[in-house]
Amino acid sequence: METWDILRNVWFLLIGVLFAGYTILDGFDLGIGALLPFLARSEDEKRTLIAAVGPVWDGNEVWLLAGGGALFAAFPMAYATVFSGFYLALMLVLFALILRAVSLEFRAHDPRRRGLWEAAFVGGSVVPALLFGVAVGNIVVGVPLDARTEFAGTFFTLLRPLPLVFGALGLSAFLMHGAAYATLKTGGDLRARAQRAGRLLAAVVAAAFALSLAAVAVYLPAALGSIPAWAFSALVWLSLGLFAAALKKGRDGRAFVFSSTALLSLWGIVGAIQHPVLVRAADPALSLTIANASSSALTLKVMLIIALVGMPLVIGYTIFAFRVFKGKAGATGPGY
Amino acid sequence: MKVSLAVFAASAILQLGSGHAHSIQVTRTQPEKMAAFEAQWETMDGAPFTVFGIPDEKNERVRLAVRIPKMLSLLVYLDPGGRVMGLNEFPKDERPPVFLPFAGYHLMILFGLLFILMGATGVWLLLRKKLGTSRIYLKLLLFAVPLPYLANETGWIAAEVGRQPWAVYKVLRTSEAVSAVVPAENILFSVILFGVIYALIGAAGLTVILRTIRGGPGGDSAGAGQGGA
Repeated sequence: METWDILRNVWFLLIGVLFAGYTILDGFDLGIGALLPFLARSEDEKRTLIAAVGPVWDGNEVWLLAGGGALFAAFPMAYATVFSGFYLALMLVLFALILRAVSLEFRAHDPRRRGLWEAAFVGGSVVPALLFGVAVGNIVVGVPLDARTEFAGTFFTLLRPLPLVFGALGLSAFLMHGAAYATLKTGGDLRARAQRAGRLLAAVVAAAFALSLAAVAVYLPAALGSIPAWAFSALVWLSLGLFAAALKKGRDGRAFVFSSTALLSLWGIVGAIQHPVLVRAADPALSLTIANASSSALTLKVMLIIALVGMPLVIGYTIFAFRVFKGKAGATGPGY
Repeated sequence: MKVSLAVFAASAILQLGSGHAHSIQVTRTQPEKMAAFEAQWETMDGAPFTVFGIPDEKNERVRLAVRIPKMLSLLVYLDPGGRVMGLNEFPKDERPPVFLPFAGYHLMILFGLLFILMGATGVWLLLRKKLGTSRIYLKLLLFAVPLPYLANETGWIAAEVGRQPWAVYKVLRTSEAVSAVVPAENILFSVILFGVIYALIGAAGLTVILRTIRGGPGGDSAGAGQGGA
C-alpha cells in the first residue's frame, strides 16, 4: 500500500473517531435536553439537569465541528456533495443548535419567557439528535448523484425508510445515553426517574436496532456479507444487555460506559459497511470513496501532523473539564 | 471608568496603526481592491486621498469629490509620488463594484478617527478632573455604544464586496464557487430564517441587557450564575 492510501485510510478512521466521540459526548447532553420535560418535575430538578450539562455541552459540540472540518479538508468532494445535497436538513440542524446554545443562558436570565427558551432547548436537542441518524442512513443506503457527483434529489429524498429508521435509532440511543448521564449526575427522585427511563430506553434502542437490521437486509442486502459488521452488531447487543444490568444494580458509572460502547459499536457497524465508501451513490460507479474524494497526500500528511498535536490537547482538556465538574450536579451548586 | 477609558483611548490609536498596515498590504497584494476603496480608475503617481465623494460607476468618476493631493500615495508608500494602480488596469469582468467598498471603507475610517477624538477628549477631561461631571461627554459615550459594531460592519462590507468577483483571488470566481445543486429558494429560506432567529435573539438579549442596566449596579439579574457555559 502506498503512502497516500495509508493516509486516506487513517483519515477515514480518524473522522470516524471524531464523529463517534461527538455522539458519545454531545449525545448525552442532546439526550438530556430532549428528556428534560419527562425527567424533571420541578424547577429545581430542571436546574439540576441543566447544571449537569451546562459546563460541558459546548466543549462536546467542538467534536462535531472538528469532524466536519476534518471531512472538508481530507475528503472535500464528499463534504461538497453532502453539505450542498443535504442543505436544508443541515440548516435545520444549525438553527436548532443555535437556538439551543442561547436557550440555556436566556432561560436563566429572561424568566418572563422561560417557557419559550425551554422549548428551544428541548426542540434544539431533538432535531439534531434525530437528523444525525437520518444523515448517516442516507450516506449508507445511497443517494442519487449525477455525473458530477452532485446530489440529484430533494429534501424529501432524504426521508426514505432506511434513513428514517436510522434516525429513530440515533434518537433513541441519544435518549438512552442522556438518561444514563442523568442517572450518574443526579440524586434522589430525579435519579430514580432517570434510571427507570434508561432501562425503558435500552429496550427502545434494542427494538430500533432490530428494525435497522431489518431495513439494512431489505435496502442494502450486500452489507449482510460484512463479518466485522456482524461482530460490531454483537457488541451492540452485548452493550445494551450490560447497560440494562448495570443500571438495575445501581452501577451508574458502568452503565454510562456501556451506553458509550453501544454508540461506539453502532459507529463500528457504519464504518464496516461503508469502508472505503464515504457517500454511497444510487449508481455504485458514482460513489464517493476515500480514493476518489480525498485531498492530496501532502494535505493529508500535514493534517495528520496537526491532528497528532491537536487531538491529545483536546482529549486532555476534555478529561480535565469533566474532572473539574465530577460528582453530582445540584440546582444551586457553586461554580457553574 | 478610568480603566475602560485607558483601553478605549489606547486601542483607538492602535487601530489606526493596524488599519494603516492592512491598507498597505491590500495595496500591495490586491491593488484593484484599494482602487475600489478609493474609487480610483486611473493609475496615478502621487494619488490623492478622497475625503468625500459619490462614486459614479457608469461614468467612472467621483461626484462632489473632496481630495487631499498625493495623500493616498503618501499613506500607502510613505512616498508622495508612489504609483497607485487604478481600476482601468484590470479587465472589466475582474473589477469589484466601487460604491459599497468606497462608502464602507471611508465610513470605517471616519468612525476610527472619531474614536481617537473621543478617546483623547476623555483623557483630557480626566486630566482636568472633569470626567465625572461632564454630562455631555458621558451622554455621548452612551450613544456611541453601537458605533464600534457599525465600524466593524462597514469595514467588513468594504473587504467582502471589494474582493469580488473572486472567492479565491485570481483562482476561483464567486459565481463558480456557488453550490451547483442548492436551489435559490432554499438559500432565500435559510437567509430569512437566519434573519428571524438573529432578530429574536438580538431582541431578547437587548431586553435582558436593558433590564439589567435599569436594575443598576448590584441590582437584580435574575438568577445570575445559573445556566452554565
